[in-house]
Amino acid sequence: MKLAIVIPAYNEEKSIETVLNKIPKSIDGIDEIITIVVDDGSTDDTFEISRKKAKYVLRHIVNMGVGAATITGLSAAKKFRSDVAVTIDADDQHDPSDIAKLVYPIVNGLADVVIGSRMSDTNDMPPIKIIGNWFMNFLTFLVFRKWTSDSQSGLKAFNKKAISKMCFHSIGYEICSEIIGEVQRNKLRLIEIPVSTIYSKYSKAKGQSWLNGINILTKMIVIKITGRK
Amino acid sequence: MILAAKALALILGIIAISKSYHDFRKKEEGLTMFLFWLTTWSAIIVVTLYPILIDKFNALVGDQGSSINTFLGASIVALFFVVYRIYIKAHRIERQLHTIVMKLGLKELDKD
Repeated sequence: MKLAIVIPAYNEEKSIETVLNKIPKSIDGIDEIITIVVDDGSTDDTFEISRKKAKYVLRHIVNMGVGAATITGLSAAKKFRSDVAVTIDADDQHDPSDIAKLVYPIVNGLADVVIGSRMSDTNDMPPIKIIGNWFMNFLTFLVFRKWTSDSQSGLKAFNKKAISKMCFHSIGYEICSEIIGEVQRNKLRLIEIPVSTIYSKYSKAKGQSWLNGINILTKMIVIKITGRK
Repeated sequence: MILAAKALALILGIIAISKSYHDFRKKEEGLTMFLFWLTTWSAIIVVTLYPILIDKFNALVGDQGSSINTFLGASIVALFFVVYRIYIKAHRIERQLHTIVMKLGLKELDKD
């Protein structure tokens, strides 16, 4: 089985090398691992650093948003005929050794989509992030009628069926919620696996503001109304 | 309050007309578009400064029941529709732009 690890990155020169160094070299049930960094129009050295460490580095000529970079990365994974694709944030908030945990249910045919949930251990999570995550989970449930404990997690795994069936229209952070909507629409099997989170000063500063929820809600409604073909 | 609203309309109107004229001079905007904005903003300024004109206009066309409030209500509905159309169009353009950017990015893979 072939695994594509997709890393959307925007101005992540401080963390991208660390993330790439921590990507596992082998995983049970996986014969080949490829890393695909999607540089989303960075103005720093993200692209140059990634080129030294990742197998493939794609570049958006302008900054489009994390959703757009994720879609590009998943399209590349599809192009490479990957059996499994994992998305992981470039800000070093996830522990890449958790990738194996996410891949396991897919390799063993137990799920089509796996979410790495950060909500099982929230001791180190800033309260504002906990509230923000629950708020986003609630909004996602409101629009797409599917409850998850961490809809906004950037650590997710998809099997071949999910990669080919899902059709996205989001280009920003709302992609996290749209993924849940696509799981629901395509009747895919979703499970959540607890993962650890590294809350450094850097990763705490990154991510979305919970006030962005209003913007995401508007976009989710527009996607729900106009997005489907 | 009414005076502040009048002053605001006047300032915004002058800014919008100046900007439109500037763009027209720089050939970034056509004559039709410039005339459209000139007429629209001039009308907004005149109606805000002299709201009585709405009642006079209504009397002229034989409609006694409508007033400035009806006019404002209808304007808000029209503005919401315009905002909705702009939002949908911006969303569509955003998606089209992403398709172009993505295709350019994926093209790099073919070179490798």
